[in-house]
Amino acid sequence: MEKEKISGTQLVFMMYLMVGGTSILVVPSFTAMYAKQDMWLSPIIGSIFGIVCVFLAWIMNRFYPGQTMVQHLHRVFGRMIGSVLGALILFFQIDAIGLITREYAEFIVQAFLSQTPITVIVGCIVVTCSFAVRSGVEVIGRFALIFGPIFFLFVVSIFIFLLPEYDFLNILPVFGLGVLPSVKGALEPSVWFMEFLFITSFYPSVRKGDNRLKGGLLAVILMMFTMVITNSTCLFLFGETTANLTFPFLSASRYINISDFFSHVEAIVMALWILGGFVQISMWHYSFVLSVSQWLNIKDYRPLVFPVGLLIAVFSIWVAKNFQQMLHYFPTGGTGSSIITLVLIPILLVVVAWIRRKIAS
Amino acid sequence: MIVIQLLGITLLAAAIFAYDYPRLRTGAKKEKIAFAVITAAGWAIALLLMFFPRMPGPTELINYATRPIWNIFYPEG
Repeated sequence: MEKEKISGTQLVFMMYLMVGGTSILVVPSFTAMYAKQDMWLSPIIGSIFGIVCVFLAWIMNRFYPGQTMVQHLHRVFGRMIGSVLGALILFFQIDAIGLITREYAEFIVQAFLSQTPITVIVGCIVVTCSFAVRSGVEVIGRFALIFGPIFFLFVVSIFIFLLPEYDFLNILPVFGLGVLPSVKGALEPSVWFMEFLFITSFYPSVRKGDNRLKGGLLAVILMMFTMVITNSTCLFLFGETTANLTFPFLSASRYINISDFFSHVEAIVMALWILGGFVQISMWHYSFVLSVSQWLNIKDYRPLVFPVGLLIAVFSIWVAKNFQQMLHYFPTGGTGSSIITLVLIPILLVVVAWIRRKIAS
Repeated sequence: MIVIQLLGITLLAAAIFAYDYPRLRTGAKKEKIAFAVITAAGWAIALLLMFFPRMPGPTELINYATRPIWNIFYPEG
């Protein structure tokens, strides 16, 4: 079967939605808890991790083009240690997918469809995404190309529609308690930005002439803008009480009321969520299925899509007993596992690969 | 009630088999084993979750294993 190709622009929007799909909802409240009035600065600091991860992915792609992370691990470390490290990354991935799907379903259940059991929503989205992944990466790329700009435009337009209601003095005092609060608040967005490492699963599918590094960095910058805009929306509207709300951006969109005609904008937020969530779960699903099939040294990933879908649905029920436990995971286990799997292992990989190339030449 | 859930998840696993097996039959042995193992794992975990809803999951494991790291940033947990 011919290898499918996606273009650079499609890669930008795919990665943007892969990481940013769920970030607009829970990140402002976490950042506000630690950064208080400096929360608009935290994503800018956090995007450094995104740039680092994209660079690491790009360097590995330069060393061994056309191969993904698990294949790199096998080549650089040999089959045994490479398989062990690959297993670590796979475990992190399945856990992360379970959490993302759970977060997606929890928001819909809590905010809109309160009588629906979570299993139903998880089942629906997993089935849809499985069909999309089975059809190939091009399908996801084209969908992301259409809906990525719409997603971004809606986020910006909600920011603009709320302009009459803003209290711009909420941003003062800037650096009131020093630089430390915004840095502490930046740790939470960094967990999201580190996930840009999974761009390695998509680099082999990019067309020949397109610039991979520029694509990745553009996605990081887009994501940073989105986070700054959502954080600013919540900051200007709610001030420091953002930390007390579960879904600040949703609550903010409920405020929009332009001459009593244009209201109930939270329906648009739900539509955004579903679109973004669909692309996000499809991307993670594809990345995970690709990694599993390469870890097992199977040529074609297509037969494994539906079993992995079942596994994802089951894991999304398993990862947390309730919403609070899931939210509690993000600063604790999420930070720890992200730093190990998404920063330390890639740095180790790049260093060892570089040393091996030096020895070989 | 739990019988219906059991039946449901078994039907789901069977549906996954039925959808993909014709393509798999002409494939290599490794693909069949991987397919069967992953489907069986999903089915087994779903079964366990039906009987032990509060089974500790990967979240607890990761929280416990990576404690030295996140304890630096968030000592209060």
